Amino acid sequence: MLELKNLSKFYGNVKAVNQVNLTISKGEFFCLLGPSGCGKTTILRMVAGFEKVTEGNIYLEGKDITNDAPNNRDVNTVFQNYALFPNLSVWENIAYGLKIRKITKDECNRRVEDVVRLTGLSGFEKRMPSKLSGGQQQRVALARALVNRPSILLLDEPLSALDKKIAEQTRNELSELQRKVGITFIFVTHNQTEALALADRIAVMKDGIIEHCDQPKEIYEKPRTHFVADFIGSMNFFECTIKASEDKATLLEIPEIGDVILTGQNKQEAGKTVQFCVRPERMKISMLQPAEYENCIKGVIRQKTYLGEITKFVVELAGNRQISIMAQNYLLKLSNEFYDIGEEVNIIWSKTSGEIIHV
Amino acid sequence: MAPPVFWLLVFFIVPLLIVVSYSFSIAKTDGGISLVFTLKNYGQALEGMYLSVLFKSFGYAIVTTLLTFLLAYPMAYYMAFTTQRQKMIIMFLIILPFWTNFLIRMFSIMILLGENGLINKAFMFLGLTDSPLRMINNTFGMYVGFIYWNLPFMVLPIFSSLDRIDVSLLEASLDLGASQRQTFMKVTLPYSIPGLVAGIVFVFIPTLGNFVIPEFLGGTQNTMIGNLITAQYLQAQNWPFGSAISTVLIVIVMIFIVLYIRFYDPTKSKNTLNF
Amino acid sequence: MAGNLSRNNDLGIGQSKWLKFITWFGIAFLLLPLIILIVYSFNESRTVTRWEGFSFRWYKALFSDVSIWLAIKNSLTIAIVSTLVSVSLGTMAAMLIARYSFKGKKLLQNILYIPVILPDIIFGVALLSLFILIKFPLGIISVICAHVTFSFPFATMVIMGKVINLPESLSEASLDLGASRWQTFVKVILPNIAPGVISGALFAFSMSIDDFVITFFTAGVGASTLPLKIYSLIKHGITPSLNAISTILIVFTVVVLLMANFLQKTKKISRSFKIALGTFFLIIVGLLVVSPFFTKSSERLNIYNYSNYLDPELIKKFSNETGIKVTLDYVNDNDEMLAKLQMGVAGYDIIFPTAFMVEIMKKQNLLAPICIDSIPNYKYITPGFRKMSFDTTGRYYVPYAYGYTGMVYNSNYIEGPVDSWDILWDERYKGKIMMINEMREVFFVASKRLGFKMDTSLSKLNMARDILIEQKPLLKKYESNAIGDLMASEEVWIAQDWSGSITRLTSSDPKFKLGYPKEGVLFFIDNMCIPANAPNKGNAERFINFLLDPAHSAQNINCIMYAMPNDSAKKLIPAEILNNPTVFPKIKNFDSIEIARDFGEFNRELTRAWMEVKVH
Ligand SMILES: Nc1ncnc2c1ncn2[C@@H]1O[C@H](COP(=O)(O)OP(=O)(O)O)[C@@H](O)[C@H]1O
Ligand SMILES: [Mg+2]
Repeated sequence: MLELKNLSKFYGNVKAVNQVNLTISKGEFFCLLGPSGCGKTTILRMVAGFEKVTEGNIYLEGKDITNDAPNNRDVNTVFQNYALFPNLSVWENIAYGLKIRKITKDECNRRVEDVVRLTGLSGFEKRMPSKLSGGQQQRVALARALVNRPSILLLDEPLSALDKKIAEQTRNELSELQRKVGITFIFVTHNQTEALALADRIAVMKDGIIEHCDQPKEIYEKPRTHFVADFIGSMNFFECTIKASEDKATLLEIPEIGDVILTGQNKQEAGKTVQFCVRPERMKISMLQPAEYENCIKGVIRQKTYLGEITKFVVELAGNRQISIMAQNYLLKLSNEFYDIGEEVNIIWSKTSGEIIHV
Repeated sequence: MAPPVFWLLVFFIVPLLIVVSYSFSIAKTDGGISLVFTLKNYGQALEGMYLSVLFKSFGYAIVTTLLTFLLAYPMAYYMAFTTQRQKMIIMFLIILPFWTNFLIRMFSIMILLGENGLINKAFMFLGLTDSPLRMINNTFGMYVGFIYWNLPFMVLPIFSSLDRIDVSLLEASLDLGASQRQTFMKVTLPYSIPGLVAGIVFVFIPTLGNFVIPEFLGGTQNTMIGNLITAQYLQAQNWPFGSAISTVLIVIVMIFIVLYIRFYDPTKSKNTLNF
Repeated sequence: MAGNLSRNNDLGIGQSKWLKFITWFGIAFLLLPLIILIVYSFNESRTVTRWEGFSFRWYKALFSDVSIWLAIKNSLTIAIVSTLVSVSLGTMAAMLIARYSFKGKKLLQNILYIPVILPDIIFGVALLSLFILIKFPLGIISVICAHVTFSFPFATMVIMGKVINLPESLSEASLDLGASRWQTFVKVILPNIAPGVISGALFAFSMSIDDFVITFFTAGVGASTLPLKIYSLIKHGITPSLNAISTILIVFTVVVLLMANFLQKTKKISRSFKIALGTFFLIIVGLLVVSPFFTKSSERLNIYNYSNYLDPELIKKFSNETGIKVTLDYVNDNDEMLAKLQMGVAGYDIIFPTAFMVEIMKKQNLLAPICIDSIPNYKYITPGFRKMSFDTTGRYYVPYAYGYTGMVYNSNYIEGPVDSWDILWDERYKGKIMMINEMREVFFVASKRLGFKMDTSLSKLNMARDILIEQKPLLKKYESNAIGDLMASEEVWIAQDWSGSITRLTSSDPKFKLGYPKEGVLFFIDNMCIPANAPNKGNAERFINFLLDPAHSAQNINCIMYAMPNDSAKKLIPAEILNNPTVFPKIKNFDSIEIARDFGEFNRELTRAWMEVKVH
């Protein structure tokens, strides 16, 4: 179990990491997600021991390791640029940590072989790193860390240097691998798809602060802040005030546009200004009137982009505000509905969809 | 034929060939040279006394290289991993004497180490010694001069190869359980070898051929190959013998050039001597 | 400089206290000597070792020393020309290697590496051999050729770095758009490799400006560069002005480096400002090089003399009276003088060889006969000195000064009286003894100590050699030029020395005493001669005449403290000098004294023995 308590790192005035509290349990696949510069790497480097902690503590299995040297931590890292020793072969790279620990030769060979098989590097043992493709180098970096059987494996954007196809493939393998070895993974990425696909839990970061830490589904469905809502997937936002609220149902007033209802929420404080947000794929364009359980507002189609799987519409609402709506093309075809730019349409979504974000 | 090739031929290859051919000739009394083939000069060069100068020069050059290395490596190492600002400052300070005339630097060391020099005065003031220590015109003074002269030539190439090490490699090593010392031995040191080889060549060869430092700072017994060659050309008027010694030196240098080209290709390096 | 630490070095890699200490110790070691130089350049005192108050004295002295300005001018001329040639050749070579494939390309590339690390001395002797063989006069041109040879391979490498990184498609595009090859080079390639060309030029320039060794071998008269001048000043112990030059050079360097750094950093500074700055710099350099200050007078006289062997006031006076520009180069010893003449180095008008050397030079036709008729003051020469045994014709020399070689000692450390050469072998004074750096002087002492007369016997010579080798560990060094300085600073307690130099010391401080060995001393007569290839023979004769004027002779004797065979001058000399036997030795019969002679063929054995002593 890894615990970060009030962990901070300042570079002069820059608060790269600010009062971070996290508990990551054993065997978890944990993701740090956030835009570039938000402090993900810094957290990772503090856990690895490369960077001094300005404030706070790091506990590993209950033991305070805040000031331990990196070589004394039961933690290994897969570097973003892999950092393979170019003068050592694949095999030697992987065996580096074991040799340092003076593990017997037989044991060492056995463990290296195991991990080579596990990462699919069989046959490449004698190659030099410069003679490997990016994906293979990534595997070597992974194998080199895994072979030491750390209690935590840190991965800093391990897929970012790979092209899309390989990254996707490696992503799947990584997930499988983690389940097999059962080691805690802390995975840093700025790519939400990766995070959503891989993580047991995600911590979304912004400017050194953790905005929201939860399971992928929760993060996506119930973003706690505007930033999280905006950063993960895409989102339509409406400034509004709470007109009335009771348990399970809230009436919101969106200026110039009208009232909408959101059900399934706790009771909200009436009169408060909040943000109401709905995912574009939860909304649909229709000529029909809404059903009982649906909200409806009016708008004019301004843009229409065919994207293969889906079509993306930009719809202009009253007061010159634009929202986007995604429609599955097969559904459009099925219902034989085709809309064109300039058409005035109804925008309809279920009253259960949407989220209130407090500002 | 392109001009650079022509120039190299006329002013470099031909002169070297002249030296080599003189080394097989005989000196006349009036300083002239009679071109007959003889190995006498080489015989003389390998006589005990001259041979010992050769060995002595080698010894001095090796010790100088070693001492310079011992001082330069820590400097380069510190410099490579310090802050950018300090790096620039140290670089500037190391290059500064580099741009001051070599003779002037040697002269200033003569003043500094002389019996009335600052060092002796400081030592006597601190009560470390009663009478001034003899620090120039002996082997010690010569080494100080050599180290002073060579230090930047050793620091800069080593620095430039250390500076190019990707720090994440060091972090990877630490991460995999190696201590700082093990990391130094297994990662840092091997990566600095190209710079080290360049530094050794840049120090060893010029030291071997130098004649000014033994003359100004060395003692009567610190004669080196360079002094021998100079004396043969400018005093003894025995050019063939001087040429023979020069040829020996050329051969030694050639061996080193092969090493140098093997390990360190100057065209590939970021230039360390740049502004 | 690419920083490899994208982040803070929190692990403290390479930042331990010890490393930090060693680094700053190393830097202090590098800087301390420079600081010392700067500080002492403002010292009132003549000696570098004592502080006597702040003064600009040596700067003033420097600015009035024509020979230093001449040396600076030569250095700049040589550096600028050789830089231009080096960069042109370097660019060509870089293009050749990077862009064309041809047979022997690899060979050319490897040959280009050699000059980069070949010891300077090999360059020096090789080029000297070439120039002498093809009878190429040693001078500015020969030095420029030498400098180009060692700096253009450097320039090539620096420029090549840029050329290699230049995509081939660039010039293809240019050719495609209709530019000729030359236009492509000037408009496309050159601007893109300009940074490389500029650093190549800076390299070449600084290497040329700084070079001593190669210039030392390939420079003739009139091509004395600043490093050569500095070398000569160091050898002859003329230190305060050295400090001043060094300070100026150091300050200049720092300013240039800082400026370059500043210009590189501030992108805001406009191009035109940079160009203006560059132009300004070039104009200053240009002014220096073509300074009318040096070209005013075409009449010249080049003197090649020992240090402290001619009153500088007399040179000034001669210059003022005649308008002839006089340059004075220092020679270390007779052998060096001979070597220069044998190599055909032209340019010296007056040299001051010792008697035996006159004999040798005359035999080798290195001397021009002197036209006695154009030297009216010749009449003042004591008749006994006019046709001496080393040149019975009397046509090749005019006697200058005479004296002998004895010893001088510091009575604070050495109990007198000193009356035997044996003391120079005394273990008690180990490291405090000094011998003259001239083989005849040294072997004479050794022979005397062994009780021989120095002659052409090989066994005697070898015995003398052996005791000299035995003496070597006791010596501070062999030194001909800075004896006075080393005695004054007490680095040496007893030295073999020439009588004039001894007198100057003993009259400066009573602790210095003459040691006159009972075994006998070696007398010498130095003479004024004109080399066969002297360019200004007439001026040389005028100068000889000027020096023989009794008043001038007297002034000269008062300054250098050597006797001169000029009877009329003796009347103008203070009695205490005239009666000082160290200045005017009481010699009854000039044929009975021992003077160094030419040994003919045996010279070679003597040289060999001397080399063996030096090398041991
Ligand atoms: N050595 C440093 N000095 C100053 N600021 C730094 C340093 N290293 C990182 N930072 C700053 O800390 C913040 C977090 O950086 P980082 O952890 O690398 O972000 P991420 O990995 O999320 O992209 C950034 O704003 C970055 O500019
Ligand atoms: Mg990062």
